[in-house]
Amino acid sequence: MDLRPSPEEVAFRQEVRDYIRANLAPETHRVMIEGRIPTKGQVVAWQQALNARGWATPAWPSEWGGPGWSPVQRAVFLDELHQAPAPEPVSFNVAMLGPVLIRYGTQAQKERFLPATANLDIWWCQGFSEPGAGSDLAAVRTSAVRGHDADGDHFIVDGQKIWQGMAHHADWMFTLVRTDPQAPKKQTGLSFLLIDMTLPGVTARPIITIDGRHEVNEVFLDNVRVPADCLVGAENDGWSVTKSLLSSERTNIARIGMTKHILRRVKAMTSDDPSLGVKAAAIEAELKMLEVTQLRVLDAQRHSDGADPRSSVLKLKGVELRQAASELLVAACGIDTLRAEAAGPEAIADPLGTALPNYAILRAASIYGGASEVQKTIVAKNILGL
Amino acid sequence: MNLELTDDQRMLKDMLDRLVADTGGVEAHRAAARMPRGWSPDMWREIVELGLPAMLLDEALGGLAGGGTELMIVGEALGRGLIAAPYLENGVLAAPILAAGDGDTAARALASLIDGSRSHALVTEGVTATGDRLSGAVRNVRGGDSADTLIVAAGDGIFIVPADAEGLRREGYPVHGGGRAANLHFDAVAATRILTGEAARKAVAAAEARRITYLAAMALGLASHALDTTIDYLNTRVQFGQPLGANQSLQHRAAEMYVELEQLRSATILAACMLDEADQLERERVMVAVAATVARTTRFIAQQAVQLHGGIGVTDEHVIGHCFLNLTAITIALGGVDANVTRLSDLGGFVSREPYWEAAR
Ligand SMILES: Cc1cc2nc3c(=O)[nH]c(=O)nc-3n(C[C@H](O)[C@H](O)[C@H](O)COP(=O)(O)OP(=O)(O)OC[C@H]3O[C@@H](n4cnc5c(N)ncnc54)[C@H](O)[C@@H]3O)c2cc1C
Repeated sequence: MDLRPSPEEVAFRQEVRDYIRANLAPETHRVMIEGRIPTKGQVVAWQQALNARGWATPAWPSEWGGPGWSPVQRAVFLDELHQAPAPEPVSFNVAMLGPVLIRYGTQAQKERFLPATANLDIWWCQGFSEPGAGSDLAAVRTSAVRGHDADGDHFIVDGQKIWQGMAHHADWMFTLVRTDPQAPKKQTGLSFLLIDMTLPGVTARPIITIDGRHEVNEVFLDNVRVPADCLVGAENDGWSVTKSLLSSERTNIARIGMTKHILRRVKAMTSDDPSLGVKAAAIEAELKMLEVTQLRVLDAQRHSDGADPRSSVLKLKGVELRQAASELLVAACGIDTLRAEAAGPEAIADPLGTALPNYAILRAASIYGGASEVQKTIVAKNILGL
Repeated sequence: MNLELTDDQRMLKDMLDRLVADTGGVEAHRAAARMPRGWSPDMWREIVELGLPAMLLDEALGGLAGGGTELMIVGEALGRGLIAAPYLENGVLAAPILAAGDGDTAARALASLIDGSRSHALVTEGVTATGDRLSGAVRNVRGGDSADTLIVAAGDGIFIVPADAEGLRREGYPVHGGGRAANLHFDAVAATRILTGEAARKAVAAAEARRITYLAAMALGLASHALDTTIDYLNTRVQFGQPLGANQSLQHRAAEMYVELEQLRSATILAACMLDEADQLERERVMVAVAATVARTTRFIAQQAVQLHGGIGVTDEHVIGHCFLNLTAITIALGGVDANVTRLSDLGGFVSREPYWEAAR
C-alpha cells in the first residue's frame, strides 16, 4: 500500500495552485482569508475565471465542458480552493443542478441551461425545504397543478419554501413540488421543476441568521405560472431526480481544506499560548486520518460510481472537525472576539471580527446537507444493517 | 444544610419572574441591542424602582442586605428573560465597592447608582496610579462606553473617575450577545481615591467572586430557558409523521442536556453559598471551578439546543440563537474551561494527594 500521491497528482496540484494564485482577485482572496462572505460580483468573476480554464464544472462530462478529471483530481482541486482559500464554484449550479440536468434533462434543457449554469450567467438556488419539510423532505406541500392555456402547457405553483441559500442572488430556483396529492406514497407524487425567480408571484424574503448576516431566505410562490418545459425528468418522478442530486458530489463534503484554513489562522495566533497549539494538534491528527478515509472512499469510486454510504462518515467527521476548529479560533481570539462590529477594516486585527459569527453559523453545518442525526441513521441502516 | 429559600427570597423571585414575564423575551432583547447604550432605559428604570441596584447593600444604606442567594435569584431571572440591563456593572460590581469606599465622592456615586441616575463600570486591570492620576489602557470593559462614572482599581487603590474626565478616551462598540463594551485609554486622568491597600485588594477579589456568581446564575437562567424551549420544540415539531421527541436518540440528547443543566445549577448554588466565604483561597478555588463548569456545561447545552431546533435554531428571530450567543459570550467573559481548570490545578484542586487520614482537606 502506498498513500503518497503520484508524480502526476503532485504536478496537477501545483498546476491548480498556480492558476488560482495567478487569477484570484486579491480582494476576493482577502475576504476569504478573513472568513467573510464574498460579494455576488466576486463570486461571479471568480467562477468565470475558472470556467475560462474549463475548471468551473469539475464533475461534468467533457461533452458539457467538464475537464475529465478523476475523483481524486476533483478532490485535489477542491482542496486547493479551500486552502487558498478561494470561493468554490457555486455548488447549487455545479454540484447539484448541473449533474441532474445532464442525467435527466432534455437536450433542449441542457442546451438552454448548462453553459449559462457553468459560467454563472444563471445563479441557481435550491428550493427544497419547506416549513413542514426539513429532514423529512418528502413531506413537501407546495403544489403544482398542470394546466393548458393559449400560451401552452404549464404548472400553476403555490406554496412556501424556506432556507434558500443565496436566493437573493439567484436568477432561477430548482424545486421539488407536489404534482399528485393523491399518490399512495408521499415520495411518488413529487416533481422537479425549474422556476424563473422573475416570474410574477415569486417573492424572496431575507432571513437573518445568528451571525447577523443575510444568506438564507424564504421564497413564497403565489399562483406562479411555470411553463411545462421547465419540468425535469418525468412528472411525479421528482423524488428520483432529487435523490440523484443529493448524492452527487457527496465525497467532497468533508471540506478538509476549509478546516485546515481555520487551523492555520488559529496557529498564526497561538505563539504565546501553548495549550491552544496542543488543541489544534489534536484536531490536526483527526483531520489527517479523515484525509485518508476520504482517499479510501475516492479510491472505491474507481470501481463503482454508485452512492457510497461512507460519505455520511465524511460529512459527520468533517463537520465535527470544522466546528471544533472554528470553536478553537474563538478561544484563540479570547475576549476581543466579543466585539460585534469592526470600526473599520484596520481597526480590528484579523481574525477577531469574524471568529465568533463564523463559529455560530457553522453550527448550521450539522443541520443542512443532511443533519448529523440523519447521517447517523444512514450509517446505522445502510452500513451496519441495524 | 438548608437549600430552602426564605420568604423574602421567594418574594424576590416571584417579583422578578413577573418582571421577566412582562418585559423579557427575545423581541425586547433584539430591540435593546439596537439602542444607543445597548440596553433599554425603560427596563433599567423598572429594575431601579424595584430597588435591585442596592440589593447587596446593608439596610442602613437603603439596601436589601442580600447575599449570594439573592444574587443567584436575580441573575437567573434576568438570564432567563434575556434582559439587557447594566445590572452586572452597577448592582453586582460597583455598588458594594462604592458602599465600602471612603468619602463624599463614593457616597454621592452610590446615591446616583441606587437612584439609577448614573451608570457605572468597573476597571480592574491595565491602569496604574501615580498619586491620584491614572494612566494606562484596558480593553473590553463591559458597559464602559455608556457608564457615567468609572471605578478603577489601580496600584494599591480604587478610584472614581467621571466618564467625561480630561485625558480619558473611550472607544465603545456593541458586543455579540447584546450590550456594549469599550476600550479605555487613561492619560494622567485625575481621580478620587476611595479605597486603599488591603481593603482595596479585598474589594476587587470580592467583586470578581460576585461577577462569577452572577454570570453563573445568568447562564443557568439562559440554559434552563434553552432546555425548556427545546423540550417544547421536540414535543411539537413533526417530521416523518411524528414529533421529533419520539426519536429515542433525541430523547437521550435532551437527557444529556438535563444532566449538564443540573451540574450548572449546582455550580451556581455553590457559588452563591461561597460568595461570603472568609477563606479567600477556598473561595477562589470554588469560583474557578464554577467558572469552568459554566463554560463546559453551557457549551453542550447551547450547541445541542441549536442542533435540535434545526434551521430555525440559527436564525436571529428565534430565541434559541440568542440563548446560544449569550451563553457563548458568558463563557468567553469567564475565560473558558482551560484557563479556569489550569488555575484550579495551580491552586491545588479539591482533592489532596496525601493519604486520606493525613490529608488536610
Ligand atoms: C444555513 C442553512 C442553509 C440552508 N440552505 C438550504 C437551501 O439552500 N435550500 C434548501 O432547500 N434548504 C436549505 N436548508 C435547509 C436544510 O436542508 C434543513 O434545515 C434541514 O433539512 C433540516 O431541516 P429542519 O431545519 O426543518 O430541521 P428538522 O428536520 O425539524 O430537525 C430538527 C432536529 O431534529 C433532528 N431530527 C429530525 N428527524 C429526526 C429523526 N428521525 N431522528 C433523529 N433526529 C431527527 C434533526 O437532525 C435536527 O437536529 C438550509 C438550512 C440552513 C440552516
